[in-house]
Amino acid sequence: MHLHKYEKVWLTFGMASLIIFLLVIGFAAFWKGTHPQSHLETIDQNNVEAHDSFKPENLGLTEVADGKYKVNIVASAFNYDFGVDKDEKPVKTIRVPQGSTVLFTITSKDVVHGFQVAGTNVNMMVEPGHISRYEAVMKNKGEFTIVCNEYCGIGHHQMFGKVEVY
Amino acid sequence: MTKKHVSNKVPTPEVSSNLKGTFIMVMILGFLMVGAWFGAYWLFISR
Ligand SMILES: [Cu+2]
Repeated sequence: MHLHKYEKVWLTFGMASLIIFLLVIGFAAFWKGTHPQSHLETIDQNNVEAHDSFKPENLGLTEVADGKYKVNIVASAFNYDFGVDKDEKPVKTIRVPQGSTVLFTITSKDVVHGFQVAGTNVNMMVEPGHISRYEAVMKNKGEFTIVCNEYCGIGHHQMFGKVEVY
Repeated sequence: MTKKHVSNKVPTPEVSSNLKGTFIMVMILGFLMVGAWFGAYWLFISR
C-alpha cells in the first residue's frame, strides 16, 4: 500500500501521542494509585451517623499524624456539615498548614452533591449511599473556596465553605 | 504500455503540491490537541 509521506508523518504523530497519553494515565493509575473518588465504599444514606467517620463528634478536621489530617463531612441539602467548634457554632473554615496531606471523606444524606475545593485537585461527586474520598497535598498557600458543583436544588448556591492553607 | 506511462507521470506532482496546506493545518491541530492535554496535566500536577 502506498502512503504519502505527509500521511506517514501524521500517523506517526497521532500514534506516538496516543502511546504517550496512555503511558501517563497508566502510570497515574497503576503506580500512583489514582482512582475514581467514589463507588468503592457504600453506606446507608438514612443512617450515616452509624459510620465511624460521620459520627457528629468525628466531623471536621482531625490531625492524625504529623502533617497528616483528615476532614470528614456530611453533605445535605443545602449544607456541608464540618462539625461544630468550641462555642457550638458550625465550622465553615478548615485551616491546615502548607504542605500537609489532607484526606477528605464525604457522603450525602439526600441527593447528589459536589465537593470541590476550587483551585486544588480536590473535586468529587458526592452520592447518597456512597463514600467519596480524596487525599491531597496542600502545596500552595491561600484561601480556597469549597463549592457544590452538582446542581442539587433551590439552595445549591448556599453550599460552601473554605479551606485556608497557611 | 502507454496507459502505464500516463498514469505514472500525471498524478504524482499534482498530489504532492496539493497536500502541503492540508498537512500544515492538520499538524497545527495536532499540536493544539497535545498542548491542551499537557496544559490540563500541568494544572493537575501543579495544584
Ligand atoms: Cu449541593
